Amino acid sequence: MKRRTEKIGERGKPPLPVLLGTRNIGFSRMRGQLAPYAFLSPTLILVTLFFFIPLVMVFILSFTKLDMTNFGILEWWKPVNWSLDNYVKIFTNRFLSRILGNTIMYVAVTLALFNVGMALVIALITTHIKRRTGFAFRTLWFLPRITPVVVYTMMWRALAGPAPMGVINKYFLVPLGIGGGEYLLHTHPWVFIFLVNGFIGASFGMILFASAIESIPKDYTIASKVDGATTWQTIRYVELPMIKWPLLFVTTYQTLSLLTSFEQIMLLTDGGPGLYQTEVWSLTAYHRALTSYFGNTQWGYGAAWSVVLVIIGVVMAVIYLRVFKFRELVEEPKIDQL
Amino acid sequence: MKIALEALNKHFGKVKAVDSLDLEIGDGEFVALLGPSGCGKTTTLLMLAGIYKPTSGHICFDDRVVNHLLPKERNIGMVFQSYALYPHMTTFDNIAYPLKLKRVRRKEMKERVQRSADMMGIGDLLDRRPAQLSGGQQQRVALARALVKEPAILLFDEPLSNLDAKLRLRMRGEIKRLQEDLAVTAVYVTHDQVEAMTMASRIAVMNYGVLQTYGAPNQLYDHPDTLFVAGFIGAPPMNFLEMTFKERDDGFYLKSQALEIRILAEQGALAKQDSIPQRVIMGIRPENVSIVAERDGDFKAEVYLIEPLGREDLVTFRFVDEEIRALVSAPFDGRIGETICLKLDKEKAHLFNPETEVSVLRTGNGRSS
Amino acid sequence: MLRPKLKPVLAYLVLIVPSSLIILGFLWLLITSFSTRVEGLQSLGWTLNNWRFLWESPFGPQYPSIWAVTLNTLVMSLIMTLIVVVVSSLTGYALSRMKFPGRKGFLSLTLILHAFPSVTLLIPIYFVLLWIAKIPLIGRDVPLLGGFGYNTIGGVALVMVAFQLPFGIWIMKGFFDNISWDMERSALIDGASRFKVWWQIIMPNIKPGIAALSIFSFLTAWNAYLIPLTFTAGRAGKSAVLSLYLQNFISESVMTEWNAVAAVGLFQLVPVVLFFLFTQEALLNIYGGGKKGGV
Ligand SMILES: Nc1ncnc2c1ncn2[C@@H]1O[C@H](COP(=O)(O)OP(=O)(O)O)[C@@H](O)[C@H]1O
Ligand SMILES: [Mg+2]
Repeated sequence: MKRRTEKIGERGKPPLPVLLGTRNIGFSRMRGQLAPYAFLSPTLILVTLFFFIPLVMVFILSFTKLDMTNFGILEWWKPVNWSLDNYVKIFTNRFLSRILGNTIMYVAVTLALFNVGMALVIALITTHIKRRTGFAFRTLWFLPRITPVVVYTMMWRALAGPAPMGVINKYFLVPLGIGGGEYLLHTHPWVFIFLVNGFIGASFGMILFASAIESIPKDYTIASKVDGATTWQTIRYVELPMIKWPLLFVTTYQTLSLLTSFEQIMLLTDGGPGLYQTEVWSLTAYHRALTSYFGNTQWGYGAAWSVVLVIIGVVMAVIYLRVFKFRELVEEPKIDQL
Repeated sequence: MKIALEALNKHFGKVKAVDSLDLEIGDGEFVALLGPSGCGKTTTLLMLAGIYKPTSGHICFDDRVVNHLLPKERNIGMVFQSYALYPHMTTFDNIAYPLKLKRVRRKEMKERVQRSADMMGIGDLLDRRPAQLSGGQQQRVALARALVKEPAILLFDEPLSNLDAKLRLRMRGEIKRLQEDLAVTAVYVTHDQVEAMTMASRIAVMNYGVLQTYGAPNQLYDHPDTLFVAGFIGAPPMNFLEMTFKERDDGFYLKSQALEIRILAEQGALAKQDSIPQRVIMGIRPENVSIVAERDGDFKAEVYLIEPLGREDLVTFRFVDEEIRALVSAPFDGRIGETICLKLDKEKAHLFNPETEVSVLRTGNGRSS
Repeated sequence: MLRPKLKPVLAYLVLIVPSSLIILGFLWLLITSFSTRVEGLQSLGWTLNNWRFLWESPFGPQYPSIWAVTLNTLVMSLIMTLIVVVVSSLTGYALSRMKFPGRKGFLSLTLILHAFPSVTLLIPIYFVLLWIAKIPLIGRDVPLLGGFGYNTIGGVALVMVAFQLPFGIWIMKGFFDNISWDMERSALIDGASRFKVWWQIIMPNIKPGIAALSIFSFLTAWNAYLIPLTFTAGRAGKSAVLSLYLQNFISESVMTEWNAVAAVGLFQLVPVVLFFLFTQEALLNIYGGGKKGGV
């Protein structure tokens, strides 16, 4: 302000009245500055309540031996009761490498084949055929997502069931003479885990991709057709590049979804049939924390498994954010906060 | 309301959209901000409106610094190039929106909306939605909405550039008339020099965020300060020829490969004072190039292109490796390829220093730096 | 000539073969719900007995009727949808349109939140909900929702909102990215505050996007399982929702009535399938990022 007064003085004009100090303007200015936080506050409150506070609690719990037997007795919030034992236990666990391998396989295969792959195939096909047929197919593929998960997994057990009950055995494998009519969930548990999860997962990408493809201005596809491109070339060189962002988003989002999901596996195989055969990390966390073979839930130990999973998830998220350059999506606003 | 901009800067990262702009606009004045696209006109306007915060510098309305006032506290009406109507509201609701926000009573609101709409000739379109209006009608709704709150300042951002030529001409007149009737201060952004010339009492020409010149339309046309202004104002644009400056016993001469002309003594004297007197760029408007009989001519040139404009024809001539265009009364009876004698009106010639691109003839009432 | 033809055929095969699995599965479900026993897709005896939960409470009068449970589910889904849409559009707006320190990081943060597994957070959230239940007025005894604390419909909805937010915020931000800046500037000059601009000018112009996100959230909420299971005390309580009601048929008795489970499952499914059929067109507006990407 001082500089300004000097400058005015030089030019021989009286200093201008500056309204900064006036009350109501100061107030509205401050309101302008705080406005973004007002908009963000509901999210901030929810995130604090349901993400940050719980995360801090889980973090603390993971250093304790809190379980059902000492609940109310163990003063878990006191640092004297904290130790790294749970983590040592995890990393010396005999099955650690199997669980980790299962998790990686589960996420990678389901993601590639279904949540992105199949989703893209369905979206592309249903947007290039008769509209009504496309709608029918998408409805069909949406069914798994909106069916109660308990009933949905029951349905898959029926499909996989042993001859003569199981649908697949009865109508396909037995007539074709493949296999001995065994319970397929026991012989090929992973195939069904991919299918069960993939059929739910595919609809998420399907809807987003189909919507993105439909929102491509018709001029582009028409121009490409006029240039003599085949449908496949139009898809490859016009449509796919234009749905780049939804593709990247779905890939990222669904990786994290898969990493943290366990409901279907729990209801389908519960980690079996062999010892830890289909146990993934999030299911282990659930098992340790909430159910136990001894009827004794080990909250502290389960929390440690969770914390490691959070770390894996966050690292994955950060890698995706970097590699896919999601920051480009955030443009500078074209209105300033005064 | 008077407006004063003092050392106003707006930077977007490395881009200096507006670069130390000083500008004073009188109460009730109609000022045009003119310049090619991307030169910072819209940015300047949005700073006036309170949408952008200046990086530094001051904006004053009637001697009060308003840098910190929110848009709604500035009592401004603005018309956007895209019209920026609210698609989900009817014409009435669009125009009434500023009043609704001010909590004007229903009855008064209706009257004022009707009055503004009638003024713009859209009184019978009040219950349509923007999508059901033509471009010209949308433009009028936008104007009515800007006017309805009786603002102290009206801002226009290329309001006519989406209209067809005929409508543009008509709206040009209407806006000017309206502004005069209401005696409201207006800042009008345009890249169309004809619009600026016809509407504004003063024109501020900008390029790359820098104010080039600021003055009355005739002043800019007759005495452009810089090469940029000379080239930007006037249609068809001014001819530029690179020449060397020579002083002889009998006067001052400009010489190039193809021609040599004598210029006025006072022009020569000014050019001589300039730091680079050897080379000079001469500018001459097409209307100051005329076709003459051989003995009166300055030089000969070959007809290259004839473009009839109606009342006049624009003829492009070539000589050696240079080009010059002349406005001649229609119909031009020469043929392409024909060699014709041309004469330049030396009194109307402009001379620019090729290094600084500043006029060597400037009389001191233009740019200060 | 063969190659260009082969690709579409292959593509159709890739679509139709897996699709037939879904058809078979749901066919089985349908047949099962009307049968005493099935073998493959063959009914070994037709019956309506599995559907008797529609007119009588199969577990005795102390259990809520299916209709009360359906109402609960509807209320919970609507509440969750409403909160998700309002909260994500507020935040999406700020992310897309307002300057504040850390805005670039904030968008990344929302995605990172999705990396937090619900299983991790279930136990601590239980404590948070117990704590909310102690807050006067909003904690408990709110009509219809019960409140926002533990063992209330509102509480369950709130937890689901939190897990739905990362998606909602990204989606909504994409819609705001596409709104013209001039329109918003014009409204500010007309005298609106940022809040009024959001509510009166921008929101009405992204209605298709709001509708799409609402549909998606509603479908997600209707079908939620783990969170209601964890945060309502007892499947028979007055806050039970359909997926918990279903649970009654499963482990209460030694003999699970799988045919009845199929019937209840279908009962839960049918309304949302119809809903989806009628709203799919609108749901396909969920991608809003025309110029830059949105999503
Ligand atoms: N919000 C913004 N963010 C970044 N750069 C901008 C922004 N607005 C304008 N610019 C840049 O500033 C310069 C001037 O823009 P503008 O004022 O719109 O020009 P004009 O209206 O004269 O065409 C341009 O280079 C433009 O790219
Ligand atoms: Mg502009």
